[in-house]
Amino acid sequence: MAEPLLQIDDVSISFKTVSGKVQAVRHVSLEVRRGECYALIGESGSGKSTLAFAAMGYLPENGSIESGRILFKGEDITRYSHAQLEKLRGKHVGMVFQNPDTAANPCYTIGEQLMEGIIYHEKISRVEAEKRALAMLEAINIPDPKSIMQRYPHQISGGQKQRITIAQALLSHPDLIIMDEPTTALDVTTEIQFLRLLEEVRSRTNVAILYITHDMGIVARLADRVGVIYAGALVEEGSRETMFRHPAHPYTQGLMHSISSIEADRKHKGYSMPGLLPNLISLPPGCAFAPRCSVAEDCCSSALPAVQLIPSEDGVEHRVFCHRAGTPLSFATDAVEECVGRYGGENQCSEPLLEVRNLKKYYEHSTFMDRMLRHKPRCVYAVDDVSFSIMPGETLGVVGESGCGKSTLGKAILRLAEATDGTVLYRGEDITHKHSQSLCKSIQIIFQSPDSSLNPRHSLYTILSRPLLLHGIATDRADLEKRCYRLLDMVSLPRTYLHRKPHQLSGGEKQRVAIARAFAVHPSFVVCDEVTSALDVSVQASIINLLRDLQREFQTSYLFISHDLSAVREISQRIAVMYLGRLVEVGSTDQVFRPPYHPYTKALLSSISLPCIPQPHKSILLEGQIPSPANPPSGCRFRTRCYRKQCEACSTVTPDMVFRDGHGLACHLDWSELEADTPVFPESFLS
Amino acid sequence: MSPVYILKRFCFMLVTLFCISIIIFAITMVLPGNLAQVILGEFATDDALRALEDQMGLNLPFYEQYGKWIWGVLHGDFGHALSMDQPILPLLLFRLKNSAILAAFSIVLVTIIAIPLGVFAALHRNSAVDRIIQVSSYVGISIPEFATGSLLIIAFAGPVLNLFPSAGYVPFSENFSEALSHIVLPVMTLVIVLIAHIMRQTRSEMIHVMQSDYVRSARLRGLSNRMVVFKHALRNALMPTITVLALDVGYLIGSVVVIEEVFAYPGIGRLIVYAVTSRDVPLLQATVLTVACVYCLVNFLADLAYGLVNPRIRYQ
Repeated sequence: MAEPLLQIDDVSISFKTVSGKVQAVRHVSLEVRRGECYALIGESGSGKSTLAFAAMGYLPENGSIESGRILFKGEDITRYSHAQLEKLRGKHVGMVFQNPDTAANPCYTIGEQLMEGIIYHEKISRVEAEKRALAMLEAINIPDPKSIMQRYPHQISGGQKQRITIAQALLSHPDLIIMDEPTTALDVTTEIQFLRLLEEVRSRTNVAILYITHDMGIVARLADRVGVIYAGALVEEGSRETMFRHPAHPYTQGLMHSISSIEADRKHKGYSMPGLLPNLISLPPGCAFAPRCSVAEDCCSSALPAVQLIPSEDGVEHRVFCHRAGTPLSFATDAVEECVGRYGGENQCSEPLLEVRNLKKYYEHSTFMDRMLRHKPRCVYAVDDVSFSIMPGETLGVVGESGCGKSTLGKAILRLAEATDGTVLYRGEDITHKHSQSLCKSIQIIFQSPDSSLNPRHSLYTILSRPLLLHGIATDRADLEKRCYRLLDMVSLPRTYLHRKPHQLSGGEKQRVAIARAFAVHPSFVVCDEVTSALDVSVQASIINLLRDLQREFQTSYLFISHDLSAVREISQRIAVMYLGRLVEVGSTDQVFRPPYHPYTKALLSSISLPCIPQPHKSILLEGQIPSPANPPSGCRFRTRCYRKQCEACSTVTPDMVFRDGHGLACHLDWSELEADTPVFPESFLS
Repeated sequence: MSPVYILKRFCFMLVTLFCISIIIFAITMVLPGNLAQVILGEFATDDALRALEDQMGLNLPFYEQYGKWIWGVLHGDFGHALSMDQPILPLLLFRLKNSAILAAFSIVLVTIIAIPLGVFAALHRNSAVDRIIQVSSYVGISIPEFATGSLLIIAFAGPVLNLFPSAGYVPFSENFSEALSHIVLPVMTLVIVLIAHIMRQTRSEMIHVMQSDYVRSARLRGLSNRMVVFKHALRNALMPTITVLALDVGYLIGSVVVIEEVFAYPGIGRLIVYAVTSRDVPLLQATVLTVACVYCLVNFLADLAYGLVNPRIRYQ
């Protein structure tokens, strides 16, 4: 066993706030050993980031370490002076942050920010520092490092930036790198490049990694050991294999089950853990998880659980903090009742509810000068010639990387962005440029972040009563209140919430309010724009279940826009894959997940990190960056990143969508050739 | 910063100035009162009035009058000040120079006092020193200038502490120390008024920037406190301050009427007031246009300075 590098020994951290003392971290002990990758997982607000920052000797002004020691190579860093901390951060521990866009100073070039640390700490010359920075960028395969060094952060892409922060963290040859959700802000295809790079770095150097995340797929791929943190306390720790195969703590077990993933059984609802994180200001005396635990006993809520060591197959210490460790739990969920309405029922070929024909949305950004000089208008081709239809009660999932135009597509259908060309038919009627009250009533949208889509100054009552009054649904005050209560019941929120404000609710609850608002007018078509992306994994499943229940009840159709393929697979009957403003593949969920694949779809599918596949499966790395939609490649838009053999037509002719059994592919390759492709997932996963 | 950006900002400034000149000319045209009447007095005969109107081109259509005027302005000919019967240009330049001296001293002082104060207050947020800085700067901005000016006169030019002259003006070319002592009190008044502006702007922006991710990441890369504050935070925090500074320069040039009045200082602000009260239309047009020019020029310079510190400004 390697010697310990970072030891966190019985550490408690608290924050002083207006409403009281927040116990962010409580008596956590863990250690990261030389050369290992330790993953720390937990919901947002569980204290995992606080712990990571504390390991670098960094706490916000109102935070303090109440007890315990943090040892780095045997020295207690909580007693470090300012100068010692600077040296620790500059030389021995590197850090990679969640959001690469905001972590770099917009005022200085990449090169300057790479070099300043080593110039300051190692007292080397600029020339030498530049040499080292260049060598590091080359080592992590950044194309054209010289020009990257001279660019400013806003001139490079997010994925590129995150690779550069790795370079920055590695530049001082640290022993430990702390990563705080480094891929959360990245697309799957960029994420896979990042993870590859990380694997490469680990094989080359002996750097230890403390990886903070809530993504089980990444944990399965990277981690040697895993620690689970709940409400500021470590609840379980063990090797990756043990944690995935034999989780002992009820919370870990629930977490493993709540992942909405590809291998989840589509015939049953996803499991979602009941309840919420407890209030960290007034914690109950016993186990913090007891109120949400299905096997809790009296002792759980009265005494703190002591550590238990469980024998593990691989000999790696497996620690659990639970009175009832190892109690088998039942996670059986109800079967999904398929929509028996007009879709999927007997009269399957009814009229489509919504039909989109050759829809185009270009954003013109000609300047004053361009217009004066009569230049050809410069356009961003956000949505370019997209056609599809949605049946009543059906869900069409739209997937693609950020910037592919999927959100614009949703907005163009709702006329939040006026379509440049093409038609949108609703129940056979052209609504492309039509605006009417009744249309607003039948077509609704739910946005990604409920924090910004709900007015923070309004109570839920005001929020929910607005659409009811606007569309004349409620007749009088009493009726209005009754309807608001019914809406809360519908999305399983307690009636007592009616006069609360959004900030008093958790993220998942806020999203429920947003859903209730959309359903207040009984819409027949709802655009769900990344509705689960801002939520914790343990809540995502419950939101999807809710949407599915509502769909069954009201026969609503969804356009479910997301970059999360697992979520899309769970809820959609059909999936459309979008790349750079165009659809490349449309088909039923089963069709899309099986060959024939569009080369892009295959790359997307293979990028998903799966928790339950022990060996990382072979993923296709897409070369380079997604081209700018202002200047898309000629012919097939995907050709610049396509890994299949290319013919002449690829660069000259835009491929048409070819349909077979309702499965459409836009590729110049022959159908038979695409059909012969190896499947990404074993058949046993998909049935 | 690309030359295209500079050229663009410059063209933008010219267009703005053109619009302003039209507005100024139009407004002075529709002011009540006949220019010929003003010159000849109320007992002039109709014939004499008509003759003068013809001579001055007052009966020409608007665009022709404007054309003649702007053509003159572009050639440095602002016409004659009717009330003083002398060419406007030398008078204007003299007054502009005086106001500029006042403005320059004030703005330099405000910059070197307010920005460090703002940074200090931000870094020691909610401390006693921060509170004192905040409150005293508020007092400065809430008391009207004439009151501040008068108080300063009582304090420093009164019978007790007769340190500086209370009013008047001495050219710098004549007697440097005399000239300096004459502008001490007006400059002090302006600084007291403006400090709160710049200080508050710098403080709030600095607090905002210090909480940003990139400052945290700079800290976590082990950079020293000085590098974090002065290299990473300050440059970003100063961007909005530059804009506010430019607006304040405009204020200093054009709107210091009260200060110049209190200290009997011959600046351009007083000249505007004089032009209005004596119904001297050509003088009014010239002075207002000059102030507008200064305003635009300062904003143009601020745009350039902004482009220098902010690499994201890059017009293609």
